[in-house]
Amino acid sequence: MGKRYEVRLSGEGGQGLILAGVVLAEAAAIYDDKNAIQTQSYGPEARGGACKSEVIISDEEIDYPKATEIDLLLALTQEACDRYAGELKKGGTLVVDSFAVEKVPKKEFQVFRLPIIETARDQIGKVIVANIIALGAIIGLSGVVSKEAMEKALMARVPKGTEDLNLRALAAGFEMAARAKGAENA
Amino acid sequence: MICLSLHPCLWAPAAYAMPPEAEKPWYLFVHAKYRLNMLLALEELSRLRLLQDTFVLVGGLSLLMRGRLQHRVLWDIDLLFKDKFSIYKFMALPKSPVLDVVSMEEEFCDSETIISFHTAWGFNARWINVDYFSRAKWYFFHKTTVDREGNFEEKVSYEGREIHIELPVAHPWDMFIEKVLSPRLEADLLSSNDLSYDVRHVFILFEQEKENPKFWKYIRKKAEGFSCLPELKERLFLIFDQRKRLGYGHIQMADSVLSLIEGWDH
Repeated sequence: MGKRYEVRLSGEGGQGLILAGVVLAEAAAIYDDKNAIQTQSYGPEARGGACKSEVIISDEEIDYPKATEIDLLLALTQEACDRYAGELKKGGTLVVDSFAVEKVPKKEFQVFRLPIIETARDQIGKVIVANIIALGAIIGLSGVVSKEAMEKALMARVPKGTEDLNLRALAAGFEMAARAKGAENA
Repeated sequence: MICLSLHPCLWAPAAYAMPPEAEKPWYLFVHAKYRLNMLLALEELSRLRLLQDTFVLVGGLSLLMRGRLQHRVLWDIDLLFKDKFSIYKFMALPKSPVLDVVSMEEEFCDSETIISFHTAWGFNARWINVDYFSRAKWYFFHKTTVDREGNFEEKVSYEGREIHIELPVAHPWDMFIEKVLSPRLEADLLSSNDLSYDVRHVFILFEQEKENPKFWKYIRKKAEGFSCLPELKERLFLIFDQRKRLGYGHIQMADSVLSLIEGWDH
């Protein structure tokens, strides 16, 4: 990883993206010994139900805590993709839900269309874990934090009764990323 | 707006008694990398409070400082203000020259239930989220208890520094009511969000207090004074009913507790 890596998680309220951002930041800062800050914004766009969470992760001190050049954007709704894809930096990574996002702008970045929500619903059996699947996919694609750190951060957040379900969701995200990378390299 | 200070039901809750397991200083549950900054931020807030005493420290950090939580996460600071004007005034106060405050939003989020503004406070490029909120009734809800019980006070010696904290910090029992009734928790229940920290905090407090009659007496009286007893009862039963789906199926519900809450109508 370079000095500074900026992740924006976007979608709509109720998709658990703020919490996903918190867990990603904790994986980086507490379990991978990097520096991280997570921020959420309920700015003017939030009134329309949109939601975004940003995480800045760095091997060094973070001199400015706001995202300025997004390296990776997750968009779980078309609205979020339309609104934020323009802020993704050249050469960055756009991860979209393959069902919810049909149109992706043509720009100089990598695009991964992944069945995140469908997998949460049909494979794991709980739509809310789409956020965890997305985290697995993001980590698998970017390597921004280690898988071990992510698992530890997640386990520190979930209650005893749901550890297995959340680990399965995370693993599904890792596998999704591995398949997508494999397809890209084929 | 309800004037809580005039309501006859409000008496002092049991002192800020900590559960017996809370022997380790609370700040050791702040990651070492951010610990000094957290203490410095609280020290700075203690200084600012002397200039403007219209906020209460609420949220997870308040429960940590009161010895009610014991886990290591990235803690942020939630400040509940009297009103929007108080937030503006607070933002304009001169801060320590070694503190950087960065506004994370262009403007206030002004919704039906809450006014909020997110900032990051940094000392030496290590940042802590400091969020300003206003929920008018809830400010008075917490402030009346804090005014009666006094501020949280602690002198911490850390890394060769003496840090003096004196802040209005919400009482855990008040936090229980606020968390149970929060709109965010309602959304978490609807989606069975097992990552919800509001749900987690409610169950942790419930486990600590469920057999304490003074707790339930206080909860009832305070909720009555705040005109939210029926809502609180309904939400508590909803949380209890959904505990398995939320990952808290192991929490035991004594019939005596359920009967006690059921009896809140009478």
